Amino acid sequence: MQNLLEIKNLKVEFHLDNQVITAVSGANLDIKENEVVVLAGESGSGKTITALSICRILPHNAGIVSGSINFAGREMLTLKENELIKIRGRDISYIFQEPVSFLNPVYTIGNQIMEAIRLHQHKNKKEAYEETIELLKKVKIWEGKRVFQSYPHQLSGGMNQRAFIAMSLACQPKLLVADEPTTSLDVTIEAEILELLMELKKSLKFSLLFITHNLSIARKIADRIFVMHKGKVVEEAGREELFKSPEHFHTKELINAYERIGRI
Amino acid sequence: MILNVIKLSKYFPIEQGLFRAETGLIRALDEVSFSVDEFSTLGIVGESGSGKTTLAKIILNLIPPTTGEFFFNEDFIGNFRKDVQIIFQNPYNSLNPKMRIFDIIAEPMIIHRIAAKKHLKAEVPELLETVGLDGDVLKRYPHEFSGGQRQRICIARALASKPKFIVLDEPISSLDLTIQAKLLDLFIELKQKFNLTYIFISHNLAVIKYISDTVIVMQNGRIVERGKVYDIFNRPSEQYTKKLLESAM
Repeated sequence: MQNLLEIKNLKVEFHLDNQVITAVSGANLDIKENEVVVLAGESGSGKTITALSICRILPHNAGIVSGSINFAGREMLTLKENELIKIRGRDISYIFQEPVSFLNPVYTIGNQIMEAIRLHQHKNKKEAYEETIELLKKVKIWEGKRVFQSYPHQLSGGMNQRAFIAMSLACQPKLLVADEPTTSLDVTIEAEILELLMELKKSLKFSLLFITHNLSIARKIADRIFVMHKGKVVEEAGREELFKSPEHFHTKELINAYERIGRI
Repeated sequence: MILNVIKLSKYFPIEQGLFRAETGLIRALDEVSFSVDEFSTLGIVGESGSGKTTLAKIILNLIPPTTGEFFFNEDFIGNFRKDVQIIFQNPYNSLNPKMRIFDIIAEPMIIHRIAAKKHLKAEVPELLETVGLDGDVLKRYPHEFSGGQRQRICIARALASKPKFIVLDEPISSLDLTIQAKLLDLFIELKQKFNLTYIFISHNLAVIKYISDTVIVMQNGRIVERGKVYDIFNRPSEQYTKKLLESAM
């Protein structure tokens, strides 16, 4: 199978007032088509920065210093901004830990999903509306019409995350990047969202890059797992292999924490 | 028995419209009864909105109950504010950003006359050491620390008044799993060292299983199941408990 995404020797630096901090120093990662890759590590290990680098949506004081990111045969790091805009949200989309802080509070859920459809697929309002209701059904929101007209603050955390997933899948992306999407949710809701993501992956056929500090999620969904520590990818292995014979000490730490309090 | 809770309820009114007319009641807690034995850990587990935190606030005398009562055993709890402490979920907004670590830890010691002022210089670093922090943190401010370190500071502050009973309200939920495991070990170690009694609130069943002696499962303000930790995890009788356990497998 071909690699959909290939990150090689990625290095990212942050420029603070009078110092430079290296957030990512030599990250290597690849994802095949239709594959679920989990990127695991503690907070501050560079997972999120690596993920944001793919679409070059880093904070303003961060810069990619070196490396290459190849997505579907194109070099993302040298792509012009107007080309990138066409990829963001269409071929690659993101979901985050707190959907509420990424949803616009003054637009209804429906309007925000429609925006993605109209922007990337050039459909008229009526077509976009129907497609939005369809999408909400796909993420198992049965009261589509009510949710369409709701504002983010009127919905629960789990409901907002479903709506956010609907929005990110609106343009049938090839790659979905999920950055701790279940961390702020209850365990029962977390289990539902994970199940939903795996179902959608099967029917819509996309690759999934899932970021988490909790190996119990990796155990459930991953094909392969990459472990990050202090800005570097320190280990890469298939799911069974990683749990059976971890090599790096940080992987062992993560597995140890998982075995004690990550599962019953 | 150190704490006895009898039919505790808390209702919050739903107010609507211009004149804030009461249109209904939210039953945040609905006739909750339980007791806690000394030197044990009671785990309270439930999803968000199940009433866990409301229960903690009432026990700590931070909000009054609507009906019901609770008693602390006076043989153990003499001075309530000294003997009963709390550790909150979010270590980022439970430390005063303008105070240095030394003053944060020293304040309860001074107020409750735990240590004379001249002894503080020795007592504060010693306490910080018991929670795994070096003495060189004394002059620093909370923002200079990571989430895990801040929670250690909160633990030291809670221990500063030499309490007997600590309510831990989701004390590790906002931290990485590896840090969570380390802090759990610290809680267990401190409990033995200082003969503490805990109420440990969490939505994470694995954490509850790890630390508790007895467990209460809450849903919509009610206790749906209670028992010894082994029984709850090995032969749950309620549908809701089974569902929670399944999600955490």
